[in-house]
Amino acid sequence: MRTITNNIFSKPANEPNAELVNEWNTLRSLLLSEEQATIDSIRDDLTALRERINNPEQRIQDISDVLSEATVLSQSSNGDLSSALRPVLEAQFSISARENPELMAEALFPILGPAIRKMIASLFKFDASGSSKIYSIEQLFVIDKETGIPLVHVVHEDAFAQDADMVSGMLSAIQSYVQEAFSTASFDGLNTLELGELSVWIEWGPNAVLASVIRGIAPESFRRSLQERLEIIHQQYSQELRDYDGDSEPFDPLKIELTKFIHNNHTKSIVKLSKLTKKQLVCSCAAIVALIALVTGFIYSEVDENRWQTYISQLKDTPGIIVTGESRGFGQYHIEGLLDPMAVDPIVLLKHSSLQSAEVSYQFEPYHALHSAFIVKRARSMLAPPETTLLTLQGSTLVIEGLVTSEWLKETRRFAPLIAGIESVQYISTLSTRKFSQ
Amino acid sequence: MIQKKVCMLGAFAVGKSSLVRRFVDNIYSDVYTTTIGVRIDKKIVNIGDETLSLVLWDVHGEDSYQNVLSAYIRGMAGYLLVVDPTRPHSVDNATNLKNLIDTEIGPKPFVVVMNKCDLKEQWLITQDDLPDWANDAELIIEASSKNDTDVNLVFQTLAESLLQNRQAQ
Ligand SMILES: Nc1nc2c(ncn2[C@@H]2O[C@H](COP(=O)(O)OP(=O)(O)OP(=O)(O)O)[C@@H](O)[C@H]2O)c(=O)[nH]1
Ligand SMILES: [Mg+2]
Repeated sequence: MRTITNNIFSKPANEPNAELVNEWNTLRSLLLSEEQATIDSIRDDLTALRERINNPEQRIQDISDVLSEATVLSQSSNGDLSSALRPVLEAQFSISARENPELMAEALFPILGPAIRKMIASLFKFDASGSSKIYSIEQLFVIDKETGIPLVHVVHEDAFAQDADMVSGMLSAIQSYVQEAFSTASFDGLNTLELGELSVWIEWGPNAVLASVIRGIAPESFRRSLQERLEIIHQQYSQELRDYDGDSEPFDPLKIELTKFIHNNHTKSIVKLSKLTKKQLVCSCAAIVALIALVTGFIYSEVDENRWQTYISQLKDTPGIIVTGESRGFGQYHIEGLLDPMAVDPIVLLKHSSLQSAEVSYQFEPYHALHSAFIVKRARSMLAPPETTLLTLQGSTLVIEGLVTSEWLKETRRFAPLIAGIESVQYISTLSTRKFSQ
Repeated sequence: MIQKKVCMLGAFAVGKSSLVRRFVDNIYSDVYTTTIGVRIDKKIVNIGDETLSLVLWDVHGEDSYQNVLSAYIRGMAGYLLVVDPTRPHSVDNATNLKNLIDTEIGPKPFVVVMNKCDLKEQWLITQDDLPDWANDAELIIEASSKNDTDVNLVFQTLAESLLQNRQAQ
């Protein structure tokens, strides 16, 4: 066997000897066959791996296979992944909430209710004794929010409401109330209507409203069971509610459930009114509800707008009041401006206006009005002249008439020009023929 | 049962409530009691072998409550647009209402009622004087609650088109 020179691994300097090369190859395959096989298989693996990496679909598949486990693992160990994901999720969440709030509300409604109640329950302890109060549910309505059409209506068989007229009167009032309340941009979430010994409790959901007509005083805990009931309805009938097209048949099963619910909440001991008074009561109740509903709309009506504008222009015409801004929304009023301490109090003006009962918030900065009456009034209070002295203003000159001490006059000549609106002082020693006022 | 919300719209005193009273209770009165707010009635109509429950929202006709009006028309499937041809101004009112509806909730099937046809000799306008939007109506019907002329036809026509709309979907 030939000696292998130490340069065989490098490129031979001269033309390679063919025989030598052959021999070398044979030798190499003899010596390194195992390693070669390993290298070949590694190369294959590497190619496969590269292909896999370069194939996006495959990569998605691979990652998704382990993602959920990885997330769980990260969460339970150091939470790096979740903290990395949080800003992304939060941003996405707020985008969805902004762009499709209705969808979000719908999705969150069944979850939020219980969560909020839990939180409130932990803050307050509900009055447990409330549950012993006497009340009964006489009617329940599930109302489609969009059309105001009742999807389900159940009446307790003992209730006076079996009179069809009364039912529809009551219902019509609730329906119009629901529609008006909800289309007011600044709906305040009002959900109780008190009507003598009847009250209507209204719970609002994203697609439906649950209204219950209650006789007597129901405990606050009852509101919670109403809320829960409505959440369950939204859960069970989410698709049906969304697809509602006038056909309330899909909601029929609800009738049985709600009838049970009414029965569980009906107390026999309630004294019932005589038939006549009941009828009268309900008619007037319906009228009152309709009226309340109407008033909701009226708040925005032009009648009010006119009164408000009248009051504003009255203020603007009042010396010593400068209105720089005003706003009005859902029964609340706000005025900004400048107010001379000597001016008529805007609240007094309000009491005399047709808005008298309105809640107005004022934000007035003090200032000194340059109305001559004010200047004179201010001069009088600052200079304190003898009572018989007459002060008037001519242009920017303060005219003093009557008997005064020379000392006072000296002081006055010095200080009067410091009062806003007065530049000089003129003194007339004797009162002229005209009578002094004040 | 299918329930559909239908609104009675038109200027004051054109006879919206009278149409409802005639249709629902078959009564009529010459005494004018203006509707305060809204009154909701219900009547079931049969169309072929189908039944449809019309939930009628009889709205007051006073102009200045337009913002309340947009609350009332929410979710309605169709409407009756009532004019009183003895008062041509009621047509301008109908025009405004039609525009309000189209912008607020989009076009809906409607029937134009030229009401009080018992007073035809006092009419100051005819069907031909109605503006272009009247061509979009399902039908223009001359009716009278007083003499019970074609009152049923008015509601029946609208009910039919509501049902067709539903089936078309
Ligand atoms: N001659 C005649 N009079 C009618 C007819 N329909 C209604 N009226 C009278 O017209 C007046 C107004 O009728 P309503 O039905 O109250 O009118 P409305 O459109 O509901 O009025 P508002 O509720 O105020 O918007 C009443 O005096 C009715 O008697 C009719 O077909 N013929
Ligand atoms: Mg009316």
